[in-house]
Amino acid sequence: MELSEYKKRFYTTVSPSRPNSWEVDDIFELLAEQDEATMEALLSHVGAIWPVSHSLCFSYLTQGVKALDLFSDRLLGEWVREILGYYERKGLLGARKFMADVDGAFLGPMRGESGVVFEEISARMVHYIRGISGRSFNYSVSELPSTDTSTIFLPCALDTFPGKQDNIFFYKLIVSLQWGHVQSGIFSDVLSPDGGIKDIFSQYPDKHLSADLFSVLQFVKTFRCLELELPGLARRSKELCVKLIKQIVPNGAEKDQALALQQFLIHFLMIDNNNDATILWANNTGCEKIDAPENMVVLDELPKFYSAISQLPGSYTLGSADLLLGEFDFARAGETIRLRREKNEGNFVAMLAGFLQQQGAFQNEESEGSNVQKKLEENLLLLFKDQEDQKSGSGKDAILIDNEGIELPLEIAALIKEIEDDLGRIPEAYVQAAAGQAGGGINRQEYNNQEEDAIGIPTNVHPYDEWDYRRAGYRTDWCFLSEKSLHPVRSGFVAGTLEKYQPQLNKLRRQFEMLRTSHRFVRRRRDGDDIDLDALIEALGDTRAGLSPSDRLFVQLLRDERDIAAMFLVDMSNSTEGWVGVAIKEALVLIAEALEVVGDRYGIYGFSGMRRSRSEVFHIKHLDEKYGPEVQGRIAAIGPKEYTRMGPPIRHLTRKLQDTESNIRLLVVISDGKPEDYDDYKGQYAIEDTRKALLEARGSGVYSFCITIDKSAHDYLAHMFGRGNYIFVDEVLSLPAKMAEMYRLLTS
Amino acid sequence: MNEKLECRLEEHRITSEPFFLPQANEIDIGLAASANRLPLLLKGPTGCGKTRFMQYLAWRLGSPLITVSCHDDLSTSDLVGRYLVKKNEAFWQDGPLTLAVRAGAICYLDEIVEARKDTTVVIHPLTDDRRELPVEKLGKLYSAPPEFMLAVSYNPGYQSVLKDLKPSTRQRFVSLSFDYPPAELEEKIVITESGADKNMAVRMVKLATMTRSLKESGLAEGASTRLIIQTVRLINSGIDTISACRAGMLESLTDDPELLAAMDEMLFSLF
Repeated sequence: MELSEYKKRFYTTVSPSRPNSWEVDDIFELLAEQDEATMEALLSHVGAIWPVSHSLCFSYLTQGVKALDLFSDRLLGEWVREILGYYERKGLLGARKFMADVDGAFLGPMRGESGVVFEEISARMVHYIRGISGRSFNYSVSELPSTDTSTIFLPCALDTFPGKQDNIFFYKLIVSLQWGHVQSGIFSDVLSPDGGIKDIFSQYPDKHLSADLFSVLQFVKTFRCLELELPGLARRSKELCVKLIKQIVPNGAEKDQALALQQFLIHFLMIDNNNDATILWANNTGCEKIDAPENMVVLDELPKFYSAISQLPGSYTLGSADLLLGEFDFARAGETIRLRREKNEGNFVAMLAGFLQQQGAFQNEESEGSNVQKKLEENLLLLFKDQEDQKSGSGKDAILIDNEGIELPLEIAALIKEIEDDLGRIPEAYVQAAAGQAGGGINRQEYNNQEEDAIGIPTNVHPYDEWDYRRAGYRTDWCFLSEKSLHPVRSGFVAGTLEKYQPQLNKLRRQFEMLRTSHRFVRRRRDGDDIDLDALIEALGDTRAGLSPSDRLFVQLLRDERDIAAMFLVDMSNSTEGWVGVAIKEALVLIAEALEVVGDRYGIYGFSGMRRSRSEVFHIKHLDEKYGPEVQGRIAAIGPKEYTRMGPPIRHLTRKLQDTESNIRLLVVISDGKPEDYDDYKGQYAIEDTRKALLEARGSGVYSFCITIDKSAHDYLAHMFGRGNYIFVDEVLSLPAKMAEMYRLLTS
Repeated sequence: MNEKLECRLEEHRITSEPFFLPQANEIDIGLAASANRLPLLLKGPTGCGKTRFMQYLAWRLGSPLITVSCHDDLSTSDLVGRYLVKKNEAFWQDGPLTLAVRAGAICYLDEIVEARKDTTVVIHPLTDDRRELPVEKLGKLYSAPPEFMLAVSYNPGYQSVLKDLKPSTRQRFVSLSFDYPPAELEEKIVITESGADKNMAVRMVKLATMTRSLKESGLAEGASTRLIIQTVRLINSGIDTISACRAGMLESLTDDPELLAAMDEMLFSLF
């Protein structure tokens, strides 16, 4: 095929956008020497990338040529999927970086190379750290592992060891070590009482060395603590640790310093079963032995250790061992701790003040006219944990009011625990402040919350992912759906419909009445609340007559409640104009009348919109809203609007249904044909996204059913809705009756 | 008739002392409630010792303990009693509640919120100072003897609006809140119940505690003391620790692969 032909194809794929011709020419010049298969393969993915970002698409084409030299076009789809993934997570720059490094970033992991990206295991690690620590940590990326006591910083990928499992395990070790550092209290230790940070390294001539030695000592301490706390982890990680420690290499010929560090670390890793290293290390440095490193005070130990190591000749490079030792950013941690303490204090004071106010209010009723603040201060007795431990042996309620241990609300108790873990005890000032505030009567927390609520995105716009079958993945937060309300109109529509369908309506009402559940007695059951006299007499008669009597002799009271929540999602696209739209509205009136009889919970919503940024759902009736003139007015107001983007509204109503407490959740979609939007949401793409949205609904326990109004049946319906999950109505006049009938069948 | 009653009651009598380690003063409160003829409400997560507490209390009081596990089809007749047919005559069969009232036993309704809402109303006249049980079908009104005690339990952790006690029911009871015991106590319980050694008990309790802190991450409920004991019993029968923990504890908690993987990591960190 000629180059111009390809160009033409490119333009058709990206239409209706019109990229600059010179930009396209530039790129196609690069592609000029490619063979037909390569061109075909490259161009086949343009459709998936172009709508996401035009610049990304151009980069893809330029890099794709080079990439296809390195791998076959079979892998191209996978590559594209990863590009789009990177784009969504890290933006254009991140995606370009990924594209530029085909071998390292794409093919390496494909070849089963050992590296592991943290994102792969992050979900697991979030739960893991929560489990072992009982609190949550955030994760963030940095070159060397570190922590600021609320976030753990980790390298974004690790390929330190040849086996993937080893690298995953190493991540886990790093995470546990960082948690251990926080747990050891080192970050609070370096805080000076005035809130500043002690400069612990300033007294040493070689600050770099002192910082490294600090890390070494801290690692030893934390590792020993982990060994006691998580023996399995420590046992399994020793081998990996030794490998990393061996990577501490001397710079130049003088090896003593590097060797001493190695021996020191190995000695403490193998403290139980290898004494050679101990002796070597002790001989080389003349250092005293550290007996119980888990209890060592690192800051006290550091000067001795520094003088021992610094006198040794030579210098060293940590190599990969720096991942094990990590780094310590005390300034950052100090700031985090300060902020957290401030926040905790504020929360604690506000919560306790609110609680005391409530308590005070109760007491005030009894003894009127007393000063709340004075009373509280008199009666509030603070029991510190240690005192209280001696008293009762348990660490509960640290605060006594009026000498009675009043049970504190759970959230205050949790906060108290957090503050106690941090500071050892609740500072008296906190409690006094709370008492003061309770007297003063301002609840600061409520105050703050109000301010926070005012900021942020409007609550009625919801982002939703969209399924792109070409890349077999989701486009994250691709569509923005807003929920609007339809203004009711006054018209004779509903009354007219009721009159027109009077005979059908009577029948429908009767049918639906049968569905209505009331408490009813069922006769002739094997067991039940009472004896069924008729059955008993019959059975006695049978016995007399020599027949075998029935054992169904009881009456049972059945109360099988219909616990159904149904949502009707109505197509309000342009194409419903005319009699289709009218039929849909009539059907809604009939079904609403019928459902009022049976008493199921139901909601009605319309949908339309244009482009991914403006998908709209129109509220006609909320799930538990009363059916009355208001709702009838909104049904009458349903009219044709714009396009049919079905995925987002289905996802939206699925989410709504998920929030309901019903046993059976039903989503009925009424539409008049293929899903279609103004942008590239059409054809196969639209069908696949709709299908996916319906599958998601099914997966979350929402049963979906679709009613399609069309002149003729289409093959895609079964694929889109799933076989047996849709009906197809060709004669629009029969829709109202059919819809009610379908609903009855579905729910009985 | 009385002989029959005695006979049926004997099955419910607890003859040997059940093992129970109090966490606080729950035994005193239980005994005091009994002495004052007040009903008991036990709340707490599953497998933390509510039922065992009732057994212990029954043993201390020397009363038979009639336990009813409530389910969503439990009707009033299931509690009070019903007519049955035998040969050519209908006879009345007492339900567990009536049996307990007549004999002065302890009636324990386990997981009361699972029962149908109307069922709970039957117990109302029994739980205030009237202490009587009307049986409409018999036209009788049974007065409860002083030894009769009603206890109900429920698990507030399910967080479902449907599964909550009505205030009118709730406000009749002396409430005892149970939670997982503190680590040291739980270790003792595990050691006594399963015969584990100290080291094993410490680590098993630690693992269970770790799973409990996953509650906010989507785990419905963390591992209970009962699950720990169950797991140690598996280990005692020769199953290796890792498989026993997986089968006996972790897999019973969730089907979510992510949470399972995370709990596996915890398991491997501990053992």
